[in-house]
Amino acid sequence: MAEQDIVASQIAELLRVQPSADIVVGLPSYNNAETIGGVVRAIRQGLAQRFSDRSAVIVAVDGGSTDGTVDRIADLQREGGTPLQPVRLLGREFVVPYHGIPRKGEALHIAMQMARQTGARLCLMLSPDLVAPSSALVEQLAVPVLMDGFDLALPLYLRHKFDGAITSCIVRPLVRALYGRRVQQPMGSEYALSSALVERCLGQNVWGSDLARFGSDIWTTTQAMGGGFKICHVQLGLKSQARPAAPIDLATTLEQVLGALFEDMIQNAHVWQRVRGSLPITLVGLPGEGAAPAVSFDFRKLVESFRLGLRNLQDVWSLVLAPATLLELHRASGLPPERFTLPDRLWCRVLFDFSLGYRLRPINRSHLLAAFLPLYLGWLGAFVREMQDATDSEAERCVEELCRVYESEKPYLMSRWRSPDRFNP
Amino acid sequence: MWQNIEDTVSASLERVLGSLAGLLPSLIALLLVLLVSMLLAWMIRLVLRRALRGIKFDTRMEHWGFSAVAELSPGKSPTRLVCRIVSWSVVLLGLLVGLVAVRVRFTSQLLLHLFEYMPRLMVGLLVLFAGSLLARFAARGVLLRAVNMGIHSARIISEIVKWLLMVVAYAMALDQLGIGGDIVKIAFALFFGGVVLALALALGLGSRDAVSRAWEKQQNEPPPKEDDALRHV
Repeated sequence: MAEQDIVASQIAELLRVQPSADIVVGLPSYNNAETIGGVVRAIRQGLAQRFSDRSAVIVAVDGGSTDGTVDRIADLQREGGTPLQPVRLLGREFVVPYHGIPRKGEALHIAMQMARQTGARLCLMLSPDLVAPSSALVEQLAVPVLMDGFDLALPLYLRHKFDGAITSCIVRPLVRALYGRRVQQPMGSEYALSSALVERCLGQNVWGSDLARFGSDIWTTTQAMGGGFKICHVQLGLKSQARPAAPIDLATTLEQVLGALFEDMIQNAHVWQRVRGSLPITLVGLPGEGAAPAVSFDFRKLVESFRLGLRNLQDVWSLVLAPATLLELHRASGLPPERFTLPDRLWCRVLFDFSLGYRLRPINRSHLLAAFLPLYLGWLGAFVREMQDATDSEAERCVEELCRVYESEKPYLMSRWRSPDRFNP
Repeated sequence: MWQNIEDTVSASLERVLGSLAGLLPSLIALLLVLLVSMLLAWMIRLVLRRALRGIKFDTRMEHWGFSAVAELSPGKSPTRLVCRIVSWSVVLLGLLVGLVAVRVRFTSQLLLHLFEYMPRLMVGLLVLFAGSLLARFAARGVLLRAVNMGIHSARIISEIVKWLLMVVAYAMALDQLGIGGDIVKIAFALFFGGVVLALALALGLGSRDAVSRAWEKQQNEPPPKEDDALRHV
């Protein structure tokens, strides 16, 4: 029997046990035996405290754990509280290194299908690697969708100024420039979706593709933005996350994030080309207290990595970057590390050129994305150098300015997207 | 005397013209076959291009991992490459058929040998082409990986990988073509063995201190944090 048929039969079995529900909680897992118990208990507690009058089901989708997570889920299934239905994805060979929970896209698909077929008004996706999560998490994410009419509630965590640089310099400004919504953390691993958004997502032909596999979090957000759904950020304070069971390197992480973003750009080109400017989104809740754990980088090493890339990867970069952009990178490389800087406009054009390169495939896409790492390290080096003595709010203002530059440079992207040969060397 | 010269010249002319007249039908047949083959090639090219574009051949080649083919193709399009190869093959075939029609003994013998040699030549060229693609692809992959790992001699490593693969491809192609016989195999074995030995010696003797320093540095440095990548997302 094919994997799809097995999953379909598993969903049919789940529906036999639980034919209807108001809330479906999707919980993907992969080697999370240590933390999944705490997360399930927090979910059950949160549902009992705030939504005791509504029926709910937790769908725990395991991607092929080998550390006893499946046994742990079976134990949790026997415990009292909100029913927990386990689903096991077959085919361990499908597990590939991933910066989130492996096979999360498949888990999201199953949770959405369950939500549609049970007639749920809310589909809540939570991460199984949260350490000692609060039971209030369910309420914080669910209330905006169930009570306030939002379609997507995204988490907004307190983070150190250097934490999540890929989000700060690539994902956040690009998504904002493309879709015109000022979302600060578009790649939340915990989020709540309305039934309308679930319906839209299920209607898209991406399930089974790399975009769904590696970029389900970004894709869900861009679907909501592109479809004009109501989005809010829920301020959740600090996030405590367990170390990943299968850590991966930065190059692979960057490749997956960029690949998902660029693929989304190609698929939604007809949507984002019509968008101008940006609108703020609603912030729900109060900013949490406490200081995020510090993240430190040596900017000299980062700048050196950029220079190494410039010395060796020019022939690859020249296939995608406009000649003027390449020239400016050369100029920046000549600066000493203590004065090294990459202007926002230059950085923005580098990313836009790479997105176009991804679309036109002048070289293998995997190679193209791998060639981006030294550039990213260069941006990070410049940012760390400039912001080393700044406060978190000053760093935030700097990222906000970068977002504005992305918006102002969008005509450049559109021009190149529509006439790719015009700037070709 | 003039009469003799005139007779001789006219006899020669008659012979040449007679030969030409005898060859004329064959030459016309050659031209005709060439024209038909060119027309056929053009039509096949047209149909093939439409069919390949219909099945999104360029995109499929990229998905199947043959993006390096695009780089070597005219206009970066494997569809164009396939169309050109097929159409020129048809024209070449037409030329060969036309030459047979000329019925020149030398040409026939040459064609016979050429036809016998053709499969080996094709396989040899294919090996060379595939080897070249593989070498370029692997070299770029190694270069990117090495740069991302912060290795300063990334370019040298990448060039070594490329040329080792190219040498293997050339040796295989020459072996397939039957050129050089055992000399190619022996030379290749000597070259390859020599390169490996030279690298081993260079690393063992020349770079002993550098390797030692790098090893010590690695031992003294704290291990990288495993979840560093997560901090970037």
